[in-house]
Amino acid sequence: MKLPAAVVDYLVQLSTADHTFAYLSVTPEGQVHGWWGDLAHYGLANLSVGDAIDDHLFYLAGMLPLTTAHEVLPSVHMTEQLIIDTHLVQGPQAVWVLLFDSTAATQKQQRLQQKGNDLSLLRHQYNKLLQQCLAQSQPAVSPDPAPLEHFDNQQRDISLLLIKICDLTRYSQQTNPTVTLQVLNQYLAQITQTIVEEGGVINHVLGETSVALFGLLPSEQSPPQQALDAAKRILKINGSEIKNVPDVPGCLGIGGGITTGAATAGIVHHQNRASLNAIGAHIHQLNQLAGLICPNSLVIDRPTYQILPRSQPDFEVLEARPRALLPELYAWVGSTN
Amino acid sequence: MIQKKVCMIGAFAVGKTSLVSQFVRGIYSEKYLTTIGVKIDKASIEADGHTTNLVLWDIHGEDEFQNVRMSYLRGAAGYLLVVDGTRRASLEVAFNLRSKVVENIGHLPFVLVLNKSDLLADWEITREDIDPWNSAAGR
Repeated sequence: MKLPAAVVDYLVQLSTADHTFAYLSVTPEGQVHGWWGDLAHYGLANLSVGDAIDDHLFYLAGMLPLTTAHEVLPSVHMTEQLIIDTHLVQGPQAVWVLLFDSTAATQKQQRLQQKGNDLSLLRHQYNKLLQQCLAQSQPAVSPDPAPLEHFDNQQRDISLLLIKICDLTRYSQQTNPTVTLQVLNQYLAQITQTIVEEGGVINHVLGETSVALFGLLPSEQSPPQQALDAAKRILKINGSEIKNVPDVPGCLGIGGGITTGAATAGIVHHQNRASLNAIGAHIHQLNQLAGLICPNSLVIDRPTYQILPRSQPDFEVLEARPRALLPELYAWVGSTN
Repeated sequence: MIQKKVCMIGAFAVGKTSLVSQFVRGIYSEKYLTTIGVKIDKASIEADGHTTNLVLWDIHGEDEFQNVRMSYLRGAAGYLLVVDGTRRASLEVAFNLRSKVVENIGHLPFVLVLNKSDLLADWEITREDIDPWNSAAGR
C-alpha cells in the first residue's frame, strides 16, 4: 500500500507524539551501527559502532538474527518508571530496533486488567463456596436451612435463564435412549460451560430444559445482561458441533427465556441432599415462559427488557402470549447465519 | 560466564511474579498485582562448580484480555509452566500454552510447577490430572 506523504507524516506523528521515541540500526547478528532519537531517555549512553546490542539492551539477547520480518516485545519493564515497547524490523541490510515509551499506556491497562482479574478470581471463589455448600450432606430434615451466608442473606435481583433444546422429546421418540442421552450430554457440556463463563450458576436440568441463575456471583454487569450474553452465545451452538448422532430434521434447535426480579436464594436440604433454591414471583413465570420458546429465539419479560436499554431495539413485543402472563413479553430472533 | 534465559508462563494469578520475587529478592507479598507485558530479573546460581546467570522473564498471565506472545520466548533455554493448584482451569491454560510453545518455538525444556502448596486443602487438581504430563515426558 502506497500512502501519501501527508498521511505517512501524520501516522509517524501519531505513533511518536506520546511515546518518547528512539531507534537504532544493527547488523543481522546484533552489532550496533547507527542510532537516533531520544536515546538518553532509555539509558542508552556511550554507544559505539560495533557494540553488541544486548550489552545495552540486555533483553534482546537471543532475539537476533530475526527469523521473521518483524518481532514485537510489548511492555518490557525496565524500571518502575520506564516500560518499553520494542519493535524489531528486518531491513535489506540491517535490523531496525524501535523503542517506544509505553509506561503510561501499560499502567492504564494494568489498572483496568487488575479489576477484571480480581473479579474473575472472586467469582471463582464464590462459585467454589457455593458448590461446597451444595455438596455438604445434611440430616434428612435440616433444622438450619442455609441462606447463602457466604454472600449475604438479603433478597437480591436475580435473572433466571431457561434454555430449551427444542423437540428433544420428539428426537428421543425417533432414536434410542443411548443416543438421546449422548446428544443431551454434548449439548449440556457446551451450555453449562457458557453459563459458568458468563458468571451464572446452573440450578437444574430437567428434560429438555436447563435453568441457570445470574446475580449470585460477583460481576460488573447486571444479571439480565449476563443472562442475555450467555443466551446469545448458547443460541449459536448448532448441531454441527454435536458429534456422531443421527440427524432428525426440525429437532434440537435451541431457544431461551429470561425473567428478572427480586428473589430469596438459598440452599435447602432434603433427604441428605442440598440444592440451590430461589423463591420469587418471576420464577413461576419462567415455567410458563417455557411453552413459548422456539428454536433460535429468546423470550424475555418486562423487567429484563427494561434493564437492557441498549438491547431493546433487538426485541419485539410478543403478541401471542397467554393471558395468565400479564406483564409484556419481548422476543428476539437470532441470526440464522 | 554462562547465561540462560528462563521464562515463566501460565494463566493469570497463578503466582509467577511471586515465585520470581521470592527467588530473586526473598520477598513474598499476599497482594495480587497483575502483570502487563514482561518483567525481567537476573539471578546467579551455582551448579556443579559453575556460576550461571539466569535472566528470568516473568511474562504476563494468559487471560481473557491478553494472549501470551511467543516472541517473548525467543532465545529461551527453557521455561517454567506455572499452575495454580486451587484453580483447575489454570492447568488447561498450561496445556494450551505448552502446545503453543511447541508449535511456535519448538520443544524447549520446561518444568510444570504446581504452585500454592500452602492451600493444599483447596486444590482442584489431582495426581491423575497431571498424569498426561508425566506420560508426555516419558516418566
